[in-house]
Amino acid sequence: MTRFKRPMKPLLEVNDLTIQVNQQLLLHNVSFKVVQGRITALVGGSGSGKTTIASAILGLLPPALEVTRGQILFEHKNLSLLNKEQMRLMRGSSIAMVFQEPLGAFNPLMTIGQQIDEVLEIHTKLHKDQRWHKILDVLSRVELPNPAEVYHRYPHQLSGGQRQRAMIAQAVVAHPKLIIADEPTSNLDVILQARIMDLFRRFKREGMTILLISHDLGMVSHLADDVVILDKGQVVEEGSVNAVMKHPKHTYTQRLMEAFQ
Amino acid sequence: MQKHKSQFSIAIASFAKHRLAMICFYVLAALYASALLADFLSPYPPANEDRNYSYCPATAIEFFDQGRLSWPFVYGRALSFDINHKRSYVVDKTQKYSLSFLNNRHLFSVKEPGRIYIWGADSRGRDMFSRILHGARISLSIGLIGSLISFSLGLIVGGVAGYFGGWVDGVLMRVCEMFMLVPAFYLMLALRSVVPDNVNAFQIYLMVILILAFIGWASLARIIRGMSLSLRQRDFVLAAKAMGVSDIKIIFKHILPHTLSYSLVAIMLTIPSYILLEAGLSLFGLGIQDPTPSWGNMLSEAMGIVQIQFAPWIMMPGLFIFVTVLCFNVVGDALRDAFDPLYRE
Repeated sequence: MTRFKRPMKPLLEVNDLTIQVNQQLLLHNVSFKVVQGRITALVGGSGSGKTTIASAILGLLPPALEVTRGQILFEHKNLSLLNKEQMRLMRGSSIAMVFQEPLGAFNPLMTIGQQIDEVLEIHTKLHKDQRWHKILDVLSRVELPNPAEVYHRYPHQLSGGQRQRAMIAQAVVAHPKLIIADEPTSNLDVILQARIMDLFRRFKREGMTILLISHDLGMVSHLADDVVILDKGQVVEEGSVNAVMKHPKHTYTQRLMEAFQ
Repeated sequence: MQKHKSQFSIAIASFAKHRLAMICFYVLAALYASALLADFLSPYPPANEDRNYSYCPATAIEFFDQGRLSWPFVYGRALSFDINHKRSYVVDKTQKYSLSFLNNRHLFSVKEPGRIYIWGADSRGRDMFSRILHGARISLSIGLIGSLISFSLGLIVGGVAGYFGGWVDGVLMRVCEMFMLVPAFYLMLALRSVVPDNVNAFQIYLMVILILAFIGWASLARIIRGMSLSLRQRDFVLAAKAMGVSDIKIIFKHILPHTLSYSLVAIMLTIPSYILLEAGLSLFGLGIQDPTPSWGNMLSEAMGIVQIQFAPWIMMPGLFIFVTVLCFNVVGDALRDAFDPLYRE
């Protein structure tokens, strides 16, 4: 296990998380760590509970789902001890999310700029023109051409790749410590995928921590440092990408690898 | 940059192609404009009466004096009784009263003691034309303001109930159902009965608006609740939550704007029903009180068959109610089609 050789500070720790709905287990004793400044990939098939974990971290589980065991620690603080308002202010400013489907994740009746502005309005005390400059800045950081024009565009007027960049811009604008990216490239073609991956690498170099949720092993092997393999609500394997990819121990991981090659 | 066309502007453009609806829209615009300008357009204040001219028929405006073109004027009228003691007005050609325009902030008027009744007079010799214009102020504004109030209420209650769901939804919807259980007209009469009678005209006006608003909000709240129940499942609402947007902001910025096209159409179809309810309330003498005119209380004069036979023009407010309600319905229908992509060309 290479990842314990260096001293590493976990930014996010999920301990024994068990979630059930109507007596049926969705997650069973899930534990993993997301280390500061690294990209951790959460890999699993459909229905393995990846998205449930993301919702649990953000405190946005549907009311029917019940956490019966375990805890989520963010910067060593137990998130379940926060009240609703503290949790809300945490979202977007400390933990932000990039969604899979940017067309659905943007409000079709508001411009891109207005929606990014909304995040800044909540989490910062900047004035309107300061926010405007910050939004143009973040739009150019995600390499969108003509930020001032994109600001006034409606979501449907952008291409799929541009929308995904705008979505990432919205996620990083308030400088969150952790970004949860839920299959951020699954709707893009290969070239666009590679460019979005470059973007994530750059954010990592700038010190951001990323939890990448994906079933795309190709992307994971290129981008992630650590990987957590999830099957039927349980963690079956955890470790650095190199170790897990080269010598998969669990049969599920082996099957995944075979399917990938 | 490509020209952006929003759903809204597409719908408006499609509405503008609907000729009948545009005509109705202009009729409504003209009605509201003349209600606003009632003081200027009408020759008399609404309560100005002259008992010598009870049920006086419409006065003709004359342009020829003994075969010669002249400045427009009206002849005087004299009341006489025929052998059956039936009243009739005889034109008295010895009295001539010339019209004056833009005099005393009235578009037209005649010199006293002459009277001009272009649409006839009511039982107390009040000018129907002036009263219809002033009554339009009350009847048209009651529908508009009442439906705006009940829509704000319906949007907020429906939005909150649908977004939060659970017990909040349960409680709010049971309250709505209590209002919807009682037939609107009985609810209106019941609400009216709890309000004291010794209030002035403006207070009665406000009270009628509130009563109407109270009746209509529940059904809208139920529909908006259904829409926001489905909207809250949408990804952009989840995304807004994940960005830390507060519940109130999500309801007002991310959910309710999506119900706007529906609400707009529903408002257009609710206004006429409020106008009718107000007319019904005033017809029974429970709404706006004489001498303040509203189309409803003016119509209450036309409840006897004798009056209608003798002076059919007192039914004129009914014609205005009819036209207004018809126009609102046509415009509302056309708007609904315009907002529905399936009906759009």
